[in-house]
Amino acid sequence: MKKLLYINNELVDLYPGTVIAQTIQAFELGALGSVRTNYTNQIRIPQTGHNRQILQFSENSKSNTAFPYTSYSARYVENGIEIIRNGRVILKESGGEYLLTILSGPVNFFDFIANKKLWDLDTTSINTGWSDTIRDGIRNTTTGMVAPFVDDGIAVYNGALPAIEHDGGVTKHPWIYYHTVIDKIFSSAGYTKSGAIFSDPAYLKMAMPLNLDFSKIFIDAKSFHVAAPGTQVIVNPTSYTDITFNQVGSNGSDGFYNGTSAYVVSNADTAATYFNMAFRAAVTITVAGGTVNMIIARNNFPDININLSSGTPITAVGSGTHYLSGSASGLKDGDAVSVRVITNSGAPTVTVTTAIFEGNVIRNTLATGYNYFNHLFDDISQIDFLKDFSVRFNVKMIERNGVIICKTMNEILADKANMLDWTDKQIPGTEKLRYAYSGVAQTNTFDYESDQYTSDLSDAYASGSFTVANENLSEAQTIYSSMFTMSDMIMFANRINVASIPVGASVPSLGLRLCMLRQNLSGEPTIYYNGVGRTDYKVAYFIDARYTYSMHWQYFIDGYYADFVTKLQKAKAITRRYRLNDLDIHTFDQLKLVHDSGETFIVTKINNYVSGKSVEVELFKVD
Amino acid sequence: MAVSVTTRPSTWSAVKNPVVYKFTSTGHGALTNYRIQVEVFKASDNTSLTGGVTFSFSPDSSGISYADVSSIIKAYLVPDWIDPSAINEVETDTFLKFYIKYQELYDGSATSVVDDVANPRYAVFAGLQIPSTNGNNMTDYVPASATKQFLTLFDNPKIWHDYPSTLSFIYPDALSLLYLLRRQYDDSGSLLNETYSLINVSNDDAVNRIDLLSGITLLSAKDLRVKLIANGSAGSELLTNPSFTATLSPWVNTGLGGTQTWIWDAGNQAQVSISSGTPQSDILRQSITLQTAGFYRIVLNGNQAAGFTTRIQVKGFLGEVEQVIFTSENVTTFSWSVTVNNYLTHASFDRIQIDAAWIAGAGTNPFNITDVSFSRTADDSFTEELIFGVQEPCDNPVLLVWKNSLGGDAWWLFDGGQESGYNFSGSKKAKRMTLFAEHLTLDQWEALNELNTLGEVYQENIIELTSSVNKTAVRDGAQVYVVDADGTKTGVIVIPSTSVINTRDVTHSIEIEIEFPERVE
Repeated sequence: MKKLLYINNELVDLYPGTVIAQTIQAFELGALGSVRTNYTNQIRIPQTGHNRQILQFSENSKSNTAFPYTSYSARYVENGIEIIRNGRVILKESGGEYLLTILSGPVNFFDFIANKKLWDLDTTSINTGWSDTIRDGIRNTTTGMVAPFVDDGIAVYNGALPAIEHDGGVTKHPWIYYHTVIDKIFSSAGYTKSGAIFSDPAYLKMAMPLNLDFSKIFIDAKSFHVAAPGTQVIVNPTSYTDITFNQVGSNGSDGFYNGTSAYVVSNADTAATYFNMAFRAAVTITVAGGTVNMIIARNNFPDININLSSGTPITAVGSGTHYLSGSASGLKDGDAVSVRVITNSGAPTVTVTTAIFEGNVIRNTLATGYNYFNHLFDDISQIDFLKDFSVRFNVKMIERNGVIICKTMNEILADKANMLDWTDKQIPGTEKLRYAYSGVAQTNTFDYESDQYTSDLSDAYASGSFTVANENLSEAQTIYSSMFTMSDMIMFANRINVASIPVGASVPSLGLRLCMLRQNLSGEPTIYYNGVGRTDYKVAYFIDARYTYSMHWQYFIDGYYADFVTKLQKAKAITRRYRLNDLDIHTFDQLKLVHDSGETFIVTKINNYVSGKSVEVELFKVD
Repeated sequence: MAVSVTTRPSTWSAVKNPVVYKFTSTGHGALTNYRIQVEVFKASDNTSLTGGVTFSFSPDSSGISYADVSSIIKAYLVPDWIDPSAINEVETDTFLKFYIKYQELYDGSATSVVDDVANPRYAVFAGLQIPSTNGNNMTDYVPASATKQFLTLFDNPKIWHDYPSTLSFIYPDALSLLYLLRRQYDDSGSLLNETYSLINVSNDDAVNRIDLLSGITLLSAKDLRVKLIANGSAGSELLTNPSFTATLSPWVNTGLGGTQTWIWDAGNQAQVSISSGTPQSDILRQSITLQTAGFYRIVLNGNQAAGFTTRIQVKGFLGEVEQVIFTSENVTTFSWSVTVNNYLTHASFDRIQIDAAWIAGAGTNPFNITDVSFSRTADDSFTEELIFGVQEPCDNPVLLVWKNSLGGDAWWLFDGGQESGYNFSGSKKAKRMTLFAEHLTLDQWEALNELNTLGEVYQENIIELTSSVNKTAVRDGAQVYVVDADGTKTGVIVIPSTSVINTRDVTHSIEIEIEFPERVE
């Protein structure tokens, strides 16, 4: 009685005496960066008519429902108290009854971003064109997009100035702040975030380069390949006449090819000129009674010929196969591109026998008008990026009412004022102790990929570690390998110490790099952006002895793991039974310490909580 | 390639049996991944019964696909009993009017969805026992003639003094006005009382619940005989003696064709001026004494000036008590005719009055009634006559109501004595009672055995304890209530048990164990 389970806000019929046991996973110390999901036992519910409606007749093999293949919102109320809120229910099996499991914790958020890439982020607020002028405008920003000075292989020291030329227009890589990416991950999922870590100076100084190439998903969406239907006759086309290509071989998911004769761009950002396209056509015709001109035309201005082969239309041609190609830059909403023919001499009858027409997004040249910067990321999942953030700053996350609350382990360990007091709740005589944690070794390493260029900086800077003085642990292990590659440092032109990623001109990617950005110093050289010497700009670096903040893993370990590592030295993992009640579970906060009879703990797991019964709790002693 | 619906379910189908649409596909053999997708809709509001989810059916080697939609519809039907507050009410949860949309699909297909909304069907919370003469067609239970049945399994149900009793029937669309005829007879077979009650026609197109005791008092009778009747066609029953008299001019008896017809004498045509803004009435008034109860037809013909809007009413009076029998609002036509069919008894009215009233139009309206006729018509039986045995409850009465396998209400009062105790299982404590019934006929024993059902027991979701909460658990597909004399109901669970009879015995007995709502400690 008084057990209420809601799926998609609909009350579910339960068997009398149904037991829903919830396991609350707070931390797993051996799996840093992973987000733990709370889960229930397998819940059996009857196959009543009402339940069959809610579960969309999943028990019927003829049903085309997607219910068993996705998750749905769930909450569980017992004795008036929400034991599980913001859960996700998963249908495991159906026969004479349904078998369900409910996941909770920040599972809604992670369910939303599951399988999403960074290129799925909404970067509307920072999208813009890309040119020397725009790069100059963001040379010294502290959030969003930035154009720091970096040795990218095309920066040039001009001894005559003396200064460093850092122009390069659309072939220079845009950079984006690490914290901006994190912001976008939360906001694109419809969540807000809170936590002191989001104003941490190191967190705010990191930035990563974007590619010059658009993501495959962006390119594929706009590509097309079509063919003519066979014989088509055009009689004396005295005005420009489109050739029909209605055999659609492929048309990207944006569906810009209209199915008959033209590639028509449709974009809600109507003012944006946002991508460049290469078009090709091969047209076999017979011409009788004269000659014709042929072009690939843009919009309704046939005089704008984009045929790159000659810069003018193919003129005065007769029978044969004719090849046209050309590029269109800054395509935008409403632009239409088609293959056209017009009479040059006589009164020709043009018979098209075979023809193809295709277009592909041009790589490596960002649009000057507008770019969807989210499509310049590498193939990085949002979850992997968040894991990097979580590991780097030793951050734990929970979700409360649409807010992702993040705390570093340092904060958790220091917050004695808000501890939960379970002193009177322990059941005596139920304690077990373990003295080591699985997943932790004597030496625990975090690392980056090594830099592939001739390096002035030792590869030793690609890793960092902490040690645990416990001879009974395994000797060593790598706890985390970052997706990023370490970057070399160089004293550029003997004048400025800067990250060196010398890929050279027009190379699509600088690789997966993550650098700290610093303000330039007095005395450091003037750098030319857009032909103007600038003395206020950001400088990318990996490690610099003059600065506290560093990309070296050891910096993060020493800064964000030290207190925790101290607790690991003489670790005590304790299992006890507690008399927790529904309210304890409802108000339980994984980010708070628990006090019990003169000792302080982190709760790592609450095993199979059932209302009205004692529950096994796994603890990690911190004081 | 094409698909067509070869057969549809019966108009009224039992949902516990297959409710099947049969499709025939042609030219589909070479198509990849060919199937027919079906979605079921609720006819009353055109909402999807599956939340937009479709169901796929593949044809056999002959191109035939069978789409059984019973399991989808059954999910929306629940057995329940609500004490009716009128002579007949719709049982909203024990039937569903539905239709389907279907579509052929295969790799590369572009066929359109076919909307079968023009062919709605009805599913009833019923299951027909095999062998079934009519398959899954509930036609035997759709009122139309004297052989049609109510939704009960008792050959002769019982009704108990001082306790409520209801009876379910299918009320199809577009029937004539139906009347519930209830007659009480004494031990010698003499009629003690009869009552004709108009069934509320707005509740048609549905399964209905009749309150058997609405408007009548159960006398010390041997039995109560119940059937649905309707006004027969004119002349189907000829009266040789007028059963009413009209003594005042201008009524005259034409004696035409043997049918007792009284018409308005054209020579005494009434013309009444109705002035704008001054509604008038009492334009015709005649006293008619009805000596025999029955169906009577009143036909009015008349005319009025163009440009006027008038209301015409036929009223009956018993003393000074007035009842409107018929109203035709907003009559605007120049020449009009209205027909009123009603069941009248000598106890109903002692005079009939025809009123006209101004509603709109300027000036004076010369309102004429040119012809009036009264005629008696036949009583047509639309169902069998069901004979209820009238009983006085003994000591310790426990009255159960449940849904039988036809989807109708079933009642039995267990009296005499019961065994009672508490059951402790799991984390609950609940009162249990074993009820006994003896001297049962075979059909009674069969009907009572329907209390034993196999559905899973699940808990009633109680968000807030209010007076409408009457149970803590439900058995899927069944609902049994203990009902007090005042109609208060308590939901109970029947603990299934095996009951055995000897077919050579004349009478039989049964034990039914019920569990009351969980006790709050």
